[in-house]
Amino acid sequence: MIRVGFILLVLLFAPLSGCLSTDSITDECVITTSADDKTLTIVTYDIIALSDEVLQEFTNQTGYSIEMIRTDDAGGILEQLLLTKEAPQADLALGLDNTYLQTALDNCLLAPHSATLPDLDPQALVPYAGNMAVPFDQGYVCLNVDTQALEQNNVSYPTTLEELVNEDWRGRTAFPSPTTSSPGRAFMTATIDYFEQQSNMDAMEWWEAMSDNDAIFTSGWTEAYETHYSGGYGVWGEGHIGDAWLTVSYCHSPGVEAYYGGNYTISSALDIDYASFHQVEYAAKVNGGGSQSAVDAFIEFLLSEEININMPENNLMYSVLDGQDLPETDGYRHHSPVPTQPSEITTERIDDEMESWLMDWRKATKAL
Amino acid sequence: MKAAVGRGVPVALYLVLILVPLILALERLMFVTGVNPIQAILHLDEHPFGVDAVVFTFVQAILSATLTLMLGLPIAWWLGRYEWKRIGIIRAALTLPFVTPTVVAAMGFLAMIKQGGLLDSIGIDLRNETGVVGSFSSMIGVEHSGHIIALLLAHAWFNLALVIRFVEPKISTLPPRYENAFRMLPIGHSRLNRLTQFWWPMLRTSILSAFVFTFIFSFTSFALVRWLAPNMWTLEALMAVEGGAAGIPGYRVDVSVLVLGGATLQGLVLLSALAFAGRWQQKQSNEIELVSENFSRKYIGKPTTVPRIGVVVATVYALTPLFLMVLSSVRIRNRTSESYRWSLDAWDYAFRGDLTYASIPEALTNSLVYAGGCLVVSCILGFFVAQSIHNLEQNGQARFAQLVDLLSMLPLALSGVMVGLGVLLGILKIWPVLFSWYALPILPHAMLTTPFVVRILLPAMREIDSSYDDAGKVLGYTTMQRFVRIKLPLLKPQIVVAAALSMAFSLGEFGASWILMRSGAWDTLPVLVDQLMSRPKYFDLVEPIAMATATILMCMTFLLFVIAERFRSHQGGGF
Repeated sequence: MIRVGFILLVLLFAPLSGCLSTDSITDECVITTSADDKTLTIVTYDIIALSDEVLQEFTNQTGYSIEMIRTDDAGGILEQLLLTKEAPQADLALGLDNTYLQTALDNCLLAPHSATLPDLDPQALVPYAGNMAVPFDQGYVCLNVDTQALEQNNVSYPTTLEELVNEDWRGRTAFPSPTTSSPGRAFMTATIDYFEQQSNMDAMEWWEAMSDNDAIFTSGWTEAYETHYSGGYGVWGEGHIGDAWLTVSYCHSPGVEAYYGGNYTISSALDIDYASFHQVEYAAKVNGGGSQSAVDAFIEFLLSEEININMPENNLMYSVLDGQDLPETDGYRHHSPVPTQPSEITTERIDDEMESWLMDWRKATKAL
Repeated sequence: MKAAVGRGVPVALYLVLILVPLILALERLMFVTGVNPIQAILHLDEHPFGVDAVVFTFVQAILSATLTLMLGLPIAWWLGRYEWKRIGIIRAALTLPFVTPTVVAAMGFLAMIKQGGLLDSIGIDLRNETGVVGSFSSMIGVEHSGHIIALLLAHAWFNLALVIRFVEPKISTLPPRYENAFRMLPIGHSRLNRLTQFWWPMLRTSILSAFVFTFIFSFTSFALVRWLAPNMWTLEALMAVEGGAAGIPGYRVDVSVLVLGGATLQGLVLLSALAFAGRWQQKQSNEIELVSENFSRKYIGKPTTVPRIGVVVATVYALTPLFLMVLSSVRIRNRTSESYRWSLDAWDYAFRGDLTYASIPEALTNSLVYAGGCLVVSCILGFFVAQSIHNLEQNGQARFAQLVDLLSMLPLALSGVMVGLGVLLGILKIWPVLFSWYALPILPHAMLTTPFVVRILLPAMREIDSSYDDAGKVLGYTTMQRFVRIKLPLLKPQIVVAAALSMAFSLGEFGASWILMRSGAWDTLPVLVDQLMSRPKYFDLVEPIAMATATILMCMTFLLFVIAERFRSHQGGGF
């Protein structure tokens, strides 16, 4: 009986193992690819554009079935890739943005693709234009305000970040943490540039002052926008608190509000020079992941006109195809200002200094 | 010699299974951080939330345990003192919260405290902290006191059954002549004296044990903290949320320090608490004689009005969050108005699913596969570990038996998140390919359930009359024949109870699964509920779908507990 139990356990704990092949060396990284098993495994966060129908269409077109590994956000994708570097589970990373990309590249987590790309928006190629990652959507991260709350409370529309440390704004701002949220990280990065370009104040002094002014810090965008922000769709959801008149989101979030709300929104994006960040999200082949052809096929599928042109409706982000813009339906484009002067911080500098910025930010805000 | 090896292999395998991943995880964290576990505790203040999390964890656990006793003791007293009609149904209703998966409990409470929910509609706004709750918050000067109150109430709801199960049997089986004799004494005339001089000494160990176990469950609470107190961090919640970045050399080392220090501190606290509870329970078992509960109840008679109201209120309290959760799956708030509509759309969506999020059938299949795997592993290992302990006891090696018994209980001192992180980081070291293995979640589930299997089977093995085995030998049965024809049938009720409990625990397990699913591709029902609730709610059905999924999980778990309860109540059992 013991023997039977033992054999059962051995059988139960005998995993399937993959085999690596096709070694090559690119920029000091050893690039490997595992065997093609007709399944494309994608590590991503909750990208709503990847609906059942869309993925099924890819399977029908290419014969590759899809498995998803979901993380909380873009940071989760990077952590998953770092943790499993020795035995990658995914073939394709989908959703790393330009604040995380350089770290992934420096750690040899990505491999070159060989997909044929359509004409891409030159703006989408500004942060990175190499062949280790391909942009698939983009947007500008900036501050959103509840115009109705400002009006009702006689608070003036902010034109600088420094104004937010005033008493009027005590406890009325919500920021997703840059350590756990992609928009939070993008906005924190923008504040570094803003205070270097626009002010004598240090960015971390401002964050400390915001913390002293009872700013609300949340772990993710969802909690900041849905739970705390008073000007967004969260007001119709369960568990809404609505104590913040200002939060970090996308400059086109008011456009999304209008699009879903029949051209009505009380939310507005702030166009403050250097206080917004051009965020680009990438699809990239995972170093050590599966078949090149499956990854290339998915990248081509994702950048096909059929899929990418619909990013504003299906993924609530801008398309990366050249010449595309947000639709005008129900005020989507009208309520989505494009920042006059977004932050100009480079991905190389982000990679070099992000760790120390995050440490400084946590010390300044005493937040997670 | 052969028998000794036979006994040793499963015990060794079990110890390897539970210890190796944890030791390797510790080693990896020590390598990444450059500090040992004790030093890591002292470095917890380097994480911005480290010290706050430690303080909040202790404070909320003590307050939760206190509140649970305050609510639970009167109920236990009334239930134990009086002769109730349908006591079995009342007990089952009051026990339901304790067997509810934590993520379901969180959904139930969210449904109760949400905007437009039951409490909000009577002016108690624990979510947005307006009105009475807001005034209370301002008065006591505690930020987010509404969230803290919601969390404490949920912990009390969840653990109410513990107090009742610990204290009520003691009251209901105490011979009435003891109290009568005490009443005859001059000191026994006063009610206060009877309470402090008679009942407190009688019930002290049960009450303290209930307090300690409630403290332990509240101390390691994750799903309830995550959803009811979103701006607060317990050590468990902080380790879970930050843990994704732990164990990566040169990347956010402060997180690795937090996980190493937090897990060590948590382990020490849990071990101490379990040691205290064990000592009290041992003392309690040798104290006094007991009588049949029916005898004691009949002696006191039927309940008066106050106990009746109290027990009805408690029963309603136990069932309301679950009822509201089911209701929330069909009562859908319209996106752009205050109105609601009744619809089964959420159930339809939940069953059809989407590739981005598993459908209910997919998640249920995963959950059942893991629960089945957990059942097989934990029942086989648990059986042989219990058998080995029993054999050692029979062979006069009591000390060795005690040691194995103690080691087998080790996972009880670990929380779900600790086990999840241990498996995740330990597996990385042993065999990284295991990350892609579908059955990986079975390992933490089995680690967490095997001690329960041992605890259920061991007392039953001790009770088996050795003359049955002797008779088998006389009949010429081999060891295997005696096992199959004698031992297994005698242990069948306990094996069914252990199997059902293992499956139920695995189905509802959240902390370890949450950690592992973040690196894997297979969602279980509890993880699916959490993922849905975390999803941006552009679409008005997202939350109702989560509630529908939680309802399915609740039904599955309750079904298994009904099976376990039937076998336990009719055939007896050790746990």
